[in-house]
Amino acid sequence: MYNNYIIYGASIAIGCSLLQLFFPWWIIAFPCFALGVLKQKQNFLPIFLTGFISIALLWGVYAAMIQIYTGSELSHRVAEMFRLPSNDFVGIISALIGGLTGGLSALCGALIKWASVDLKPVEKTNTSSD
Amino acid sequence: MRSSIAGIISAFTFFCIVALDSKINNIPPLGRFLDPFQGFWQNEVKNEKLPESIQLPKMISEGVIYYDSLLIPHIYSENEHDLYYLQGYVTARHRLWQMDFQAMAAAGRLSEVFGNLTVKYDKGMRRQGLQYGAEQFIKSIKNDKKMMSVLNAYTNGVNAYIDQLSYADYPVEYKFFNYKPEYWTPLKTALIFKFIQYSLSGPDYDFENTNSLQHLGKKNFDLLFPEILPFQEPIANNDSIWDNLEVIEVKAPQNMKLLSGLRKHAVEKDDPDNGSNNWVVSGSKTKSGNPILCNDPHLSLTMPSIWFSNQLTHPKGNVMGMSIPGIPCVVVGFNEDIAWGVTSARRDDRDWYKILFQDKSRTHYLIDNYWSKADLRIEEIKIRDKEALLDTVRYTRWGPIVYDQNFGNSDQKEGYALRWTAHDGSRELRSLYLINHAKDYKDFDKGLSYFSGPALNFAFASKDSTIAMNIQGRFPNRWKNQGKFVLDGTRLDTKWQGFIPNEHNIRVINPKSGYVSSANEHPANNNYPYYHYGQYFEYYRNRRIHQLLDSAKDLTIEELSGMMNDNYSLFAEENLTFMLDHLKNTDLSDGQKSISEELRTWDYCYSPQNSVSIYFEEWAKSVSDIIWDEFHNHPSKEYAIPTRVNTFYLLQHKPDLIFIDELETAKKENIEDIMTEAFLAAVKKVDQWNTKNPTLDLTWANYKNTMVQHLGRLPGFNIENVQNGGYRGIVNATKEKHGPSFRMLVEMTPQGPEAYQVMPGGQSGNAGSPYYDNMISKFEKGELYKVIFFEKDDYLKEPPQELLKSERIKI
Repeated sequence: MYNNYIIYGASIAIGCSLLQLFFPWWIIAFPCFALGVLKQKQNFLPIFLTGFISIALLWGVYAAMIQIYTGSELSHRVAEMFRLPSNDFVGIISALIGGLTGGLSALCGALIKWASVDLKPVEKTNTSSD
Repeated sequence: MRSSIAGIISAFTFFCIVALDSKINNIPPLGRFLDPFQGFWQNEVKNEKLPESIQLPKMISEGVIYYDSLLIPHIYSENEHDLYYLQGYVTARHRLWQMDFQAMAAAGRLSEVFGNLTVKYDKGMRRQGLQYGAEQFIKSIKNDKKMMSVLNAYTNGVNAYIDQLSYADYPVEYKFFNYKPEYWTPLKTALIFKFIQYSLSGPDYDFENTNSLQHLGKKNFDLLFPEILPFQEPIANNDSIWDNLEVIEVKAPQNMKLLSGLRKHAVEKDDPDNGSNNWVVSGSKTKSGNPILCNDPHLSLTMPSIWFSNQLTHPKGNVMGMSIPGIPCVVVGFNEDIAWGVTSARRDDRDWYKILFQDKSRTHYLIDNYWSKADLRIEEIKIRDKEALLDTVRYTRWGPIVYDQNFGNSDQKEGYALRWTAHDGSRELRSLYLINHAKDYKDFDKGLSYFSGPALNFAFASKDSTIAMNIQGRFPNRWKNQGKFVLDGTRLDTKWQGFIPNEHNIRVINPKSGYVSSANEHPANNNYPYYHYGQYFEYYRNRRIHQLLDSAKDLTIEELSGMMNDNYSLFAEENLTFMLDHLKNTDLSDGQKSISEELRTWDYCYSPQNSVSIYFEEWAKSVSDIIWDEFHNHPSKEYAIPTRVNTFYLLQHKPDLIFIDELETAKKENIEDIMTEAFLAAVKKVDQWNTKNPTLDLTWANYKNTMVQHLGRLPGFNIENVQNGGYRGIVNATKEKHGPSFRMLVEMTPQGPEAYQVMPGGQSGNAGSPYYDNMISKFEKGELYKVIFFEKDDYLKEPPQELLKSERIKI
């Protein structure tokens, strides 16, 4: 059963990394939202976590790679700027912020699908899509 | 029910994303900023990201850039257009944010980025008319086709770089403050020129002097603020050179009445210590027999580094040295034949005229019994996330009215107009261009004649062994004391009566002493026939340089570069014994006594690891503070404060001075009381520092805590606790946030220049690059890097192995 979520997560991560090459950061909301809509179940936590973990990992791992590859002079400075104890926190916070956006978007997708099934005719709600 | 839950969560998500994409107060747009794909992470670089080749279709022919191990670009092109085009491109590559930011600062546009925080600053810049000056600059360059093409090529180069950028490539500061780079324009180059003049001649004291004169009377004023002290050694010390000068006389108007000045300056002034050292020793004093030039300009230390080192080579010229991002050509440097360096001449080029308006509408002002109409210039200050602010600046025949009812002055019918040489059209760019291509002193001197401001002392050395010092600028020809105090703007005869002819500017060429030097001291003594007032002339660095060079022989590069890091305080040598002799030992505890003993055996050096200098510096500071306490911190009025040099001169030579009596204490004090009180205050202050910093050793470098501060004041982007000695009035003038913005040494050998340099920072403006601050450790130690000067032929051969990168430019 978890295999499915791993596959979903992986496809989100790959999809997002491609999209992010061309679009601003908030593009990550769209694949996550789509996942929520398509794979909506009564249980929302796995959907949220799939969005959260896939984007957090994507951002966190990429940030870590940059840190390791470059010697991370700049993230030290940014840590000092935000008064964080070490530059690892900058990576962790980046991952959390990405993850939160991804998770919330997925949750939104799922909730909207869930709401539209209940109500006939379908009512449109505002989405996170701008 | 379901739809409302979905609606609420969706709205919340939407809100989160919008919030993470916007700048809120001082927090950058976090989502955008922290995104590893495009945010600040993309500015992390292992080594500079430098491509093997780039394509620039607007170039006429191909070019090449050699980056050496310090990331200094050596640019070669087949023609001048391409050369300045590439200079613009490469400067933008490394310093885009810095040049954009400084042009905005000069134009008074910072509020577009920083919001309310900088409105007052912007208003001050607009009212001082930097943009107006820049427009005049462009007007006068418009007729100069050659310079216009240089300027356009540079501008296009910068913009070619901007055009290539995507968000991920933006300098990190844009991402943090959340705005976009703007296209470069020739006007922005002009603005940078004006900004430099502002930072060098901005700190004027006309109002403070006027207030002090009113308060003290003429006799006391002249005693406390003498124009020159007898022991001064000016730049040009040989009076006979002016014997044959046909002086253009000026007449002081009659019946001048003393006016009251503005109570307080509303605009913040730059550090008055903006200055520098330069000297050239002739071959007769050096071991190699070649002339050697040294230069270190003292400025407020900022990151990214103020200067950008580069070499510009084309078939008709080859020049290398320090440029200022935003300005084409090299500002301080050397070519195959000559080398030059600058210091601030500190001559007064800003005068204030008191204006009387006809009525509250302030459209007309009085001049010689006639109401003259002021030109209104409406300044729109755009403020981020707020409505724009409109400010009307009135331009009179004197210049813009900086202070009136809407800015820093309460009286409805009064105003203060600024007459400043920076508002006149000028051609400094042509001057730089000509100096860059000069072959000998004659070319150099001719090139300089186009240089109006800021007034600078140009030291010169050439391959043919000429050494020289030119004090260059467009100096108003003043009557005695004109411009020292606020002038009467209601009468025309207070105007500047022309300028000192360029041929009459001071020059020293091949002097007998075998060297020329300047360190912001007086240009000449009173025998120079023109009035040459400056607000804040140096007395110690210059005499220390003379002390070291007068008797010197067989000087080596090591000795001369060491001189730039010389921490010896001539002030301490001349005053410490006097101070100790007037210290009442009976009032001191054992600990304090041992400090005074240490001072007695001190070598007068502000070395980084030394702690005695801390006590001395604080002691001398509090002596001045105690003596002039009635001038300091006056709640509503600013007074001129006597310089340290004159304070101690008076203490030593006129001890019966009435001012030593503190106003607030009834007791008549004497020198012993003051010295002891100041000593105790100094010891207390140092003790407080010790309790506040328990983990730090009490050393001069730690105590002084020199910092190179980021231009945008981003905390992690500074260089902190620079371990360097020296201080104000010392050849190594490194202060808390101010000091040598580079150090350069050039030896003019018959084979060509051999150059060495260092700066407190590095070549890259990117805080994620190792080249952002890689030179700081050598700077701290006072050491220099040898830099390579490529010959034209070198670019046509295989690139040398030791390069960081050789980059081909294709069309």
